[in-house]
Amino acid sequence: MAPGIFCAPVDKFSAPVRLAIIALALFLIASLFVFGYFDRTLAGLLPDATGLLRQSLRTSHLKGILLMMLAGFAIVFWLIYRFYSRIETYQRLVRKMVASADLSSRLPVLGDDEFATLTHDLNAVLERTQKLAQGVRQAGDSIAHDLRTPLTRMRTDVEVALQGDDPLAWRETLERILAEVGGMQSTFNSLLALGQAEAGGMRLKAKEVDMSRLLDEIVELYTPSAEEHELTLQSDISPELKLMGDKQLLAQTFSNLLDNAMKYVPAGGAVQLRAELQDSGIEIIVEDNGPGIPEEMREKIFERFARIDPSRTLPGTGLGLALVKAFVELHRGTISVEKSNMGGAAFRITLPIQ
Amino acid sequence: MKFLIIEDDVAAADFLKQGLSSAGYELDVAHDGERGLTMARDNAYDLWLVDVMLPKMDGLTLLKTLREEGKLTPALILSARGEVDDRVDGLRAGGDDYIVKPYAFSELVARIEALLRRAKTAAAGPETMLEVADLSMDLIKRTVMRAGQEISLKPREFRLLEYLMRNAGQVVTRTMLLENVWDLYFDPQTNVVDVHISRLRFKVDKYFSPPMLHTVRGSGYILRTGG
Repeated sequence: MAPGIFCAPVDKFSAPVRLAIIALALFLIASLFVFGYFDRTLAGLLPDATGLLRQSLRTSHLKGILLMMLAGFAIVFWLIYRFYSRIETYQRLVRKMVASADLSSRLPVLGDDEFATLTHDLNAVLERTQKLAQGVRQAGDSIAHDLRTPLTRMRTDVEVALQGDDPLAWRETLERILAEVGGMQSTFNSLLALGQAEAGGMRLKAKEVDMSRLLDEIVELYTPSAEEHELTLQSDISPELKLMGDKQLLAQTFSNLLDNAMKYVPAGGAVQLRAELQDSGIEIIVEDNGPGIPEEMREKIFERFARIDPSRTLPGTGLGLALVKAFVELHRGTISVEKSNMGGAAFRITLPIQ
Repeated sequence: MKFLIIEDDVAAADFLKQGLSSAGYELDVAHDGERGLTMARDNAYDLWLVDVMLPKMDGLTLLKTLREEGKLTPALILSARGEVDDRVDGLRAGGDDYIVKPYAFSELVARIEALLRRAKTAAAGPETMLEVADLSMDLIKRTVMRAGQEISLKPREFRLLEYLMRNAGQVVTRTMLLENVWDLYFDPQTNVVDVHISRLRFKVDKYFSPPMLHTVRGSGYILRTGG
């Protein structure tokens, strides 16, 4: 905790009182000047006035000034008090948030002035911080969740191998461990990329990307694979689709979607990728006639380690779609999944051009 | 062949030294950037292996300095980071290739061999013909012949075979193929590269003998003369 920000002792009244005293003193000095000027003018205007008349004029003027001073002081004090009591309210709320590590509460927006704007901005900071903290926590949970399993397997494998003395079995164990390490490494890399992308920490060095060409190349990359899986992979990509973005992240996005199609669409199926320009940007639809995604899973599948098959028999890190979503959002795009006219799943991605 | 390893993690440097010595290379090690710079200036090496995060002088500054002094030794950057931008920065600073930690040792060796080979052929000037045994590739006419018969390849298959032929006799990994043939810097979750290779193998090996394009289990592929 930064003591300068949250723990500095601030006396509730010291600052407003200080300001009020300064205001009062300034007012007093100003009044004395006015009074002196009045007195001199009076002496000039009524050089023959008796001492008594002059005295009574002076007194009534002094009363007026005192009254004005009081009124002024009251107004200044009220304004300052109001201001500081708002600050104090916020301070109390912020301290409470810090003490309870609760990032979900927001500051109330009072009035419609600079103060309200500042409150708005502070709330936006809180919103962002909350999102970041959530991301970190989720990443932690995910790592624990999906890295513990291979660790357990490896441990058992090593323990069993150490009980025997067959060098050939040792070799096999080592090879299995190497494969496990490879899998963990790719999970780890994906988690890292995901964390960076979601936290906005990934520097998106946007350059002009020829999306038509990129999508053509990805389809070309996957065509033999699709044939191997006995799937037909078709594409209908409008020419000259261009946007500002990161070519590698975009390539990975569509590669992940096609990887998924290869894994989930049964042999004999069809996969289609279409891309065209819409008002909202470039719209890309990747759809298939596979089993599709049940309605209740359509939000969930973009979460980390969400799998439709609970048995987790298919290979993969379980992070592919989470990465797809993060990369799309990094490009300020949107992604959703719906039922395809072909019968399976249809992923609809819209990417703004700028 | 003598390499210079510039790596501050003593354990990682030892592991590299041990692994590469048994692969038949001689090695010197520097544990910080300044020492690495001095050693690279004072000795002739065939390759520098440069870590990015180094005490006293970072790897990229070191490389930039050496390149400005006109040193042309091939350099392989070893980096813990792996964003594409870092790769671009690394290559711009004067690195010839870039590998992200943690890497598979076989991947490192394959990249080292590709770099050494590239350095050797670059000195000979640009080639117009590639030949490996009875397989030949005309880079200008874009044709491929084996045993006097033309093999028709799609453009991507041509690039794939070209890369394999340029690295003939050496293992190339899937990652190297994705980077050099497809310009993709991530690993797809499915075996896309393997399928492209098997198509190419069908065209290059099916009607000829002996087979030339082999799979190296756990590492990648190799194109070589004879079994």
